[in-house]
Amino acid sequence: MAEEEEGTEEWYKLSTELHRFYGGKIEVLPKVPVRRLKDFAIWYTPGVAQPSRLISSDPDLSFELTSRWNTIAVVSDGTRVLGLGKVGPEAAYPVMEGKALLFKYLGGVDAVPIVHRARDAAKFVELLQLIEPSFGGINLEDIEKPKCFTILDEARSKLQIPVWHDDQQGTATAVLAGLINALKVVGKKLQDVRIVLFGAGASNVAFYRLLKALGHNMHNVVAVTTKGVLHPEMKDIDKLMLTDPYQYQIAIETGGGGLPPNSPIEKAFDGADVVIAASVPGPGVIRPEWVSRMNRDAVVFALANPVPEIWPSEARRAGARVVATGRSDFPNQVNNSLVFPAVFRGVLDVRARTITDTMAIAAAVELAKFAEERGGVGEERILPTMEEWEVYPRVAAAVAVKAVEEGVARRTTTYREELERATEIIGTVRQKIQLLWGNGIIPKPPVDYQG
Amino acid sequence: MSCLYAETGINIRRAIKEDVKQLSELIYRFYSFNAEFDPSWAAVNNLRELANDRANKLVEDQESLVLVAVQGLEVIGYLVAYVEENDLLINGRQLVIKELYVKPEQRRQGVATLLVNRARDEARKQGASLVTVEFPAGNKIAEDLYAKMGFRPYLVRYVKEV
Repeated sequence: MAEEEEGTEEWYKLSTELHRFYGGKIEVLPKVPVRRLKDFAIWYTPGVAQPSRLISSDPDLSFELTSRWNTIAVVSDGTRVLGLGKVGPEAAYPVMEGKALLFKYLGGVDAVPIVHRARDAAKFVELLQLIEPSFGGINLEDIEKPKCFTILDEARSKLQIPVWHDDQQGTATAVLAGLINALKVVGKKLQDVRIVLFGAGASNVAFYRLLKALGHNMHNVVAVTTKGVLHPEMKDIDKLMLTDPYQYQIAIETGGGGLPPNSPIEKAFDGADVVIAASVPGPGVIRPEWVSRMNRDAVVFALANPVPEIWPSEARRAGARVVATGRSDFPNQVNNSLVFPAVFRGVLDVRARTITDTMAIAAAVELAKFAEERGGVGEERILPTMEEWEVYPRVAAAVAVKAVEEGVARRTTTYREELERATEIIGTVRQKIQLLWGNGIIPKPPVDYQG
Repeated sequence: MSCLYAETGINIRRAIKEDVKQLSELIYRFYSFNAEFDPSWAAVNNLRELANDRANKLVEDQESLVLVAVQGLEVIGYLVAYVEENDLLINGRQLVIKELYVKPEQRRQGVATLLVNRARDEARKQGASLVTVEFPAGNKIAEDLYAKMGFRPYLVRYVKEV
């Protein structure tokens, strides 16, 4: 999801003014006692030489003796920033900084924005390998496709710290969580449903992978792009193999969902139970008559921002029973902010080497379970909101335990232990911020707004 | 003679008259695909028509080796190769694979390997000691495929407009 709401000119003006007033959004603060100059003999030379010596003989000690264990990089080349497109690395910085703010506030994770000029995938991956010793994890952000798929796959295989591309995996995980609960509402089973993927960009390709990891019958999936239904016999399929190998793979593995080659888009909706749309802003991108072709109790996720592919009211009139969007002003916001802070909290706490697809699935299942336990699920409640902050330690615990189970963690933990640890870390951040704000150390904004 | 691979139900045999229609479709796709790599590989405008003529010629051609991979009634892949000779070389007789194409839906199932292995057997029969294969520069997919089959780089051909 783009974090952007459909803003007014005034809102943009205010935001610029506040960014200028505060000079950005984050800073680095010490977390150790500094009472007098002598303390530096511990934190810096000569004392610091001993941690350095120890780490030199065992680099993994950097996760114990330094802040590496809780520090990640938020990395972008600025090639696909929010809905703005290729605005360049400098222009991507405020977005990465905002992401860092969310990481800290929601997950207690220290995130460092890194924007760079490496334009080709190989160079990008090389950069990640070069900076790996500084960080406990990497969050990739706002990178154009299909480059983003290659970078994620390569980096995942080459680095010994978790690499996560939020526009792919974060959104896909939130989608899966929402879908699990939407299917509870309509009384259908995930393994039985026929799914239309409307758009095959970052998040839908990642969601496709999660479906595959779940053992879904891929012939019950139809992917639709601007080229029409992805199909092994589509025109230019060989060209697709070169230009977008990921879409090509989907075309081959789904067999076009059993449709004849060159089927019109509306045919893809015939007998479908679910449509997951992550394509271009609507309205009118998905037509109501297409939704009407779907099975009874259809589930429609229209995730484009700022305007969904089809307005929820239109989708419902056309027969959809559960509708989700990417927006906070409609029910059922599919929001990756429910996912990434918790996933990183969990993997950092067990010093994980990677984030597997099954760990993402574990996060989705826990997220869905949380929503169900706290207030139950319904047509207008398939996911928790960001205000229900207990969700973060819960998801962190599920991810951490899964990492241990899968043998990708450097240290072991139990669900209960991680739940307590994550609750404490995240709770402390809120206390710190409240303290700084309450004492006036974070100055009052020159103009206030109704948030 | 043809060879049926029981586990896959894929049959590799020489192309015959009855294959022309399906073979011409594969030839058409092969030439369309190669045009993606370099403008010098651009195909003619009436490619369909000429691919059909070529298919007709190939099934009659005694000089070339033309193999098809068949699954049920469907031709899912083809290979064209011929023997090249140079009596100044120890390995003076080699089989050159000029064209190979497998339909997308049947890829990653070893069809190309079956075709190439059969071509290798034919090469031996005709006294050739090497099998070589040509494809456009920049076709990484082909590079990986042949490397996996144990091929190594052997000849480089450069191009320049005149």
